[in-house]
Amino acid sequence: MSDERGHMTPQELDELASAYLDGEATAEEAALVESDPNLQARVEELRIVRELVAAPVEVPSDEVRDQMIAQALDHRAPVVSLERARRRLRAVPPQVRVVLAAAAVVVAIAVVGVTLFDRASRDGDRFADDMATSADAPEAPAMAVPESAPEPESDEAPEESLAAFPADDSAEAAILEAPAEEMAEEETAMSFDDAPMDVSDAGGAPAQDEEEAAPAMDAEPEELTVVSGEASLVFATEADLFVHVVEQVIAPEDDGFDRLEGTAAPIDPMGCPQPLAVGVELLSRFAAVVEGIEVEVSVYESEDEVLISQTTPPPECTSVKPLTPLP
Amino acid sequence: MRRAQKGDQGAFDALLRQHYNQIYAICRRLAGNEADALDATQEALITLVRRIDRFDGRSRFTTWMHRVVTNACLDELRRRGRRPVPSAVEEQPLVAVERPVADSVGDRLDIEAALAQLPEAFRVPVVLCDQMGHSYEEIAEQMDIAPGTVRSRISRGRRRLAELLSGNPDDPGQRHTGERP
Repeated sequence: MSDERGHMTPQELDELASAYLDGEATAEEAALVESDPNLQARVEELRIVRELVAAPVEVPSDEVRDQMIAQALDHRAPVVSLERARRRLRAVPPQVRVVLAAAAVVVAIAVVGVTLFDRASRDGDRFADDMATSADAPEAPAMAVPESAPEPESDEAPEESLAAFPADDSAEAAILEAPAEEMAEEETAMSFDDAPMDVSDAGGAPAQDEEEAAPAMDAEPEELTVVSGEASLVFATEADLFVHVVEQVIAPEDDGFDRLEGTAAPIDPMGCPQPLAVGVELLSRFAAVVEGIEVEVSVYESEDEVLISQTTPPPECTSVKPLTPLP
Repeated sequence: MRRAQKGDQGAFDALLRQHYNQIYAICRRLAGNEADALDATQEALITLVRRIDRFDGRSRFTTWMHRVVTNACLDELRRRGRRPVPSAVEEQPLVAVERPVADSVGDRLDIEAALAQLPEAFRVPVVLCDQMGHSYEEIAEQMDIAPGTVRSRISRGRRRLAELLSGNPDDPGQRHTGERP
């Protein structure tokens, strides 16, 4: 045993002693430590260090704790349920879907309207009204606009979830297959059903040794490119894009995000310039790569809805149709 | 926890209260002083609130939570552009006289000062192991490094702490070796 130890460097001896201390040594290693007084002494030295680090930490007062927790809960960010948004997209009236389908022939498109928070009090009748309004408009955009008071430019992050496409009760019942309780819960819950639940998204990465590069733990983009151009934002999933829009565009707070303030023209599902409809504000447009596809993302706000469209820039725009003015 | 994930405010409040002391302890050990630890804890709590949806149960909740807290805490410290500063280190530098490590037991300032001098890559696994009681495998998962690397870093981190606490920071830890360097 002693010979074996004699061929180890001080660092290796420490590693052995440290692992033994933590119960992480193999049986063979443990036997080696237990048979060697010098290694035992090294274990005891490291044990003292471990006990110092492990010493209980004096925690703040209950009052401070309560304040901190309350403040944290105020920062609950709304999270979009992408799957529910898609299901509601399928609930859009046929005439609207025709428009979308035609557009999809030319370009890959995903248009999703998400409704700002504060929808918990709304019931199915409101949805029905909304969809009736939308369906009556011959060239209505895919996103219906409810009547409720706008809540743009909020200083506070929305506290409740975003709900996706409004739809009439019957269509909702038939397509969503979701009981009323679930829908009610959806209005207040934070859900992100099909987002990748990878703990690697948990946060920023600790610094690494020069020789030990580890994958980044936080894949969120750090900068927001406002105008069209070279994509600097890459999102692995549409869900990531949604979270980005919610956190950086809808509830930018003090992050320095530069809103467009309606100075840029919106684009239609074909990616062609469109005049702004009355009551519609272009919040942001930026180039991005979503699920490996280069797209131009536009974020509109109309009344209390936020509309997110992804379009692939077309080679040319052969027709320009105005968005239907809002009722 | 599932109720918290679904947006139950009361459940979330209870969840944060249940783990608050652990969260603060991590931040205190990583930050090195109370003021920074409080700020880091606040950021960590906010991050937990915002990311609770992403916990999918593939790992223990505490493992996931400690990872989120650790990263949030380190991010906050990085944003401040400084390494942790122990509470009284400015006025009370590490002891300059050599003494056995055992003499410093109970001296909180010393261990905070010593931890503050550890590079992050060593400080984090040492804190997660010694303060949180995580296994090497759990730490490896949290830090995205190999368990063998965790073992090495913890060992080297502890040795460095022992050197700092003994007032002999240049001692490479060969007192008990008698072997070739």
